[in-house]
Amino acid sequence: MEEQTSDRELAHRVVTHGDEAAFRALYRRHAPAVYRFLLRLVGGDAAEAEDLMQETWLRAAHGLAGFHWESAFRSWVTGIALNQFRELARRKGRRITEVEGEWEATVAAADSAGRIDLERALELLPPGFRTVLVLHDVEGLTHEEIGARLGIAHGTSKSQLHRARRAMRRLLSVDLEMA
Amino acid sequence: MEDEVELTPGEKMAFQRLPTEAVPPDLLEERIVRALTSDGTLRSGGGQARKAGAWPAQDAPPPSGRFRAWVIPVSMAASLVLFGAGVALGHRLGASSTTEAFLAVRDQDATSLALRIQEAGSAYVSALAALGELRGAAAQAPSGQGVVASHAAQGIEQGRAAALGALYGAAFELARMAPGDADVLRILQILEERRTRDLGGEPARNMMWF
Repeated sequence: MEEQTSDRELAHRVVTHGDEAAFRALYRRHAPAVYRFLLRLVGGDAAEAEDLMQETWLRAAHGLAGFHWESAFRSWVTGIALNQFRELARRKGRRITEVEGEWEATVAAADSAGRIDLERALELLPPGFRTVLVLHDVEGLTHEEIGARLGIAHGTSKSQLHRARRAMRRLLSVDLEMA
Repeated sequence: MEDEVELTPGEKMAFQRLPTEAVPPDLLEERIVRALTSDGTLRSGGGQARKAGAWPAQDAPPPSGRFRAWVIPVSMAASLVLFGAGVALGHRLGASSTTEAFLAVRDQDATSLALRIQEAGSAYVSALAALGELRGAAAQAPSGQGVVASHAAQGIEQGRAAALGALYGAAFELARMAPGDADVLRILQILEERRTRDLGGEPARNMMWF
């Protein structure tokens, strides 16, 4: 049955036959997770997430023949999405780990907004905090993996996460403690 | 180096409760497929546009090659409007000197535009009526024709999305023409909120139109 067609089989059809239907099936299977991931990374900016999605899937389709299936397809596409996000940050002239100068303004904005939920708090975090927090606490990556993917030392990832969690708590006040 | 701040059980649970998926906009898939088709990575014709709201269970490749019925009345109506406007303009330009024609067009510009808007509106309503009939036909399809009904439903869903898009576009232009019209802005705001909701996001909290 088509529902049981594996990612690998669909990818094979795309690579060997340029099969549009197979590509659509792959996309529909994994796009919602990738889109949510990108939305979180860009702090809820839908237009930016869409642009990154498009670039991610174009690159995935072009690079499918070179994918060796040493990881799950979704992990691979998510990695491409993260690279696209990093590329966007680079184009904007900011490092992903850069947070100085943004944090106090963010907290002030959150204070004036009143109580917020976790998703909103993630959006409000500075990109440097948000990226590591999403990768570690939402996506479940280790510091070594985060370091490798972001091109930073794993110690930097750890200290960044430490500050990010503190920032998150400050944003959420006592809400999470009561959850 | 600072030690990690450990998450409390409540915080861990809150992270686990976060949604893992968000539905991307319908048109994004089409944009991507079109780009891949145009650069030769994909061969066109092997798949169908996404049925709105069918994530992610519909991830198997759908059958190919079905033409969507709602396209016919919409295309015909739009073609007729454009053809009629072109013929009228050509006739006017051919019948008088350039200056006279220009003046005539300028003087009657607002009137003819209003007429065209009315005609386009009529075509829109006719297309919606045809879409409604298609919906009825799909609902009455015998159980043995599940695939046919499914394709009809897909066409209807796309027609509905296209109609909402047109409605939004019209409301947006009206709001540009009359920024102070509170009713138009309310309509636009409702459509905007719906659009945002369909895209999986939250309604904008502070909307500034212009």
